[in-house]
Amino acid sequence: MSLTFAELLAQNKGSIVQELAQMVKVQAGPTYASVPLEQLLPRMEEVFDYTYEAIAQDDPRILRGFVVAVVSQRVAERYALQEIQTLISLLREIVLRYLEEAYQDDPPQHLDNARQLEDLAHHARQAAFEVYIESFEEQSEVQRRALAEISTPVIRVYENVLVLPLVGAIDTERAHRIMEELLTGITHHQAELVIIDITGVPLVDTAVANHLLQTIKAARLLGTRSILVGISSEVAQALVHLQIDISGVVTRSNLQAGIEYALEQMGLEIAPQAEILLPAAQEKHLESEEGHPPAQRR
Amino acid sequence: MATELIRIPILQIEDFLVASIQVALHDRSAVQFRDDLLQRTYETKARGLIIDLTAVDIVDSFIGRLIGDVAEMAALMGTRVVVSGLRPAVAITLTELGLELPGVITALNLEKGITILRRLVQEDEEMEGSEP
Repeated sequence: MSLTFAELLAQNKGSIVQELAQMVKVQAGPTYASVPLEQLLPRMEEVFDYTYEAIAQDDPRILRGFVVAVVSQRVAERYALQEIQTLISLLREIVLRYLEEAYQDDPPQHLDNARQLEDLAHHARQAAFEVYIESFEEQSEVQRRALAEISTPVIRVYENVLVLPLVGAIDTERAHRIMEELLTGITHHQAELVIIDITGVPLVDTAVANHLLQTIKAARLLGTRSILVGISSEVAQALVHLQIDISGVVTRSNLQAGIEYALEQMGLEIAPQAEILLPAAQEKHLESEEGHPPAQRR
Repeated sequence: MATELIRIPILQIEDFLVASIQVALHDRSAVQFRDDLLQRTYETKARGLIIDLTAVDIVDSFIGRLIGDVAEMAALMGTRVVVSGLRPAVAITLTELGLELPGVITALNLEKGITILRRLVQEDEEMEGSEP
C-alpha cells in the first residue's frame, strides 16, 4: 500500500482512458456521441495526461491551462458547456473509484487524495465555465454592435438629401446614437435636407418626441432642414394628446411625399418619361424590339 | 486674469464680412470678438455677416449665447447673419444646453453660407425696391 496518487494513476492509465472514452461517448451528450471512439481515445488520453501531471506536481494550473486552450476550441465547435462539465465529472468519478479501491485501508490518505482530486475538478470546471462565459459575452458584444450599426442607417437617396429610417423602439441611449450618426452623416454628405421616417417606430411618447425634436434642432444648427414622415394615426393622436408641439417641423404622410417635397425644395421634380406618356409609341417600340406583334403579348 | 486676449480677424469680401474662429475662445476674447464684429459691421455697412465655426470643437453656454446675441444685434443694424460649419458635437452640445439659436440662419459650410447670404440680401433688396 505504498503507491502514491500519481503512481496509481500511471499504473491504471490504459483502463482509465478506455473507460472515460466509453462513458463520455455514451453519457456526455450529442456532440461527443457523434465522435468515433478511435478519435475520442487520443483526446481522452490527453485529458488524462494533463490530469496526471497536475496531480503529480500538485499544481492545478497545469490542467487549467490545458482546459482553457481546449475548451476555447470546443466552443468554436459548438460543444455545449454541459458536455464539457459532464466529461470532467465522469473523469472525477472514475478516478475516485480507483482511489477508493486502492486506499480502502488508509482513510486519512484517501481523504487527502480525494481532496486533491476535488480541488482539481473544481479548477477544471471553473476554467471551462469562464471560457464559455467569456465567449458568450464576446458574442453578445459583437451582436450588440451589429445591431447598433443596422439600427441607425443614414442613407443618401439623392444629392444633398438623406433618409433616416427609424425602426423599433427608441430609448435615450439609442436616441443619442441616432443624433450622432445623423449629424455625422450630414457633415459627411453635406446634406441640405434630411427625411426622418418614423413609420417603424411603434410608440412615440414625450421622451421620444423630445429626442426627435432635439435631433431636428441640432441638424438645423448644422444648416440642414428636416422633414418628418410616416407619422401613423396612433402617433398623431399621441402627439396631440401629449400636447407636443411640432409645428416648427415640416411633416409629410410618407417617405414618397417626403422625397417629393425635398426635391421640390431643390427645384427638382420626378416626371414621367415622355415616351411612356404615349402608349402607342411604347407598343411600337416593344414590337420592333422583340420582333413579334403586340397581340401575342399577354 | 493672465490669459492673453485673442483677436479674431474679420475679413471683408464685397458686401460681406467673414469671421472664422480658429481657436478656442475664452470669455474675454469672445466679448472682444463681439465688439469688434459689431464695430466693423457699423463701419463697413456690410449687408451680410458670416461666422464660420468649422474649426471650433468646443462651445460652452457663454459662447453659444454670444453667437445668438451677435446675430440679433447685427439684425438690428440691418445686417443678415449666417453661422456656418458647426460640427456635430457642437450642435449636440448647443441643443443639450437649450441654445438652439432660433434667430440664426445656419449653413453647412462657408461656401453654402455665402450662397444663402447672397440670396437673402437679394431678397432684401427686392423688398426694399418694391416698397416705395
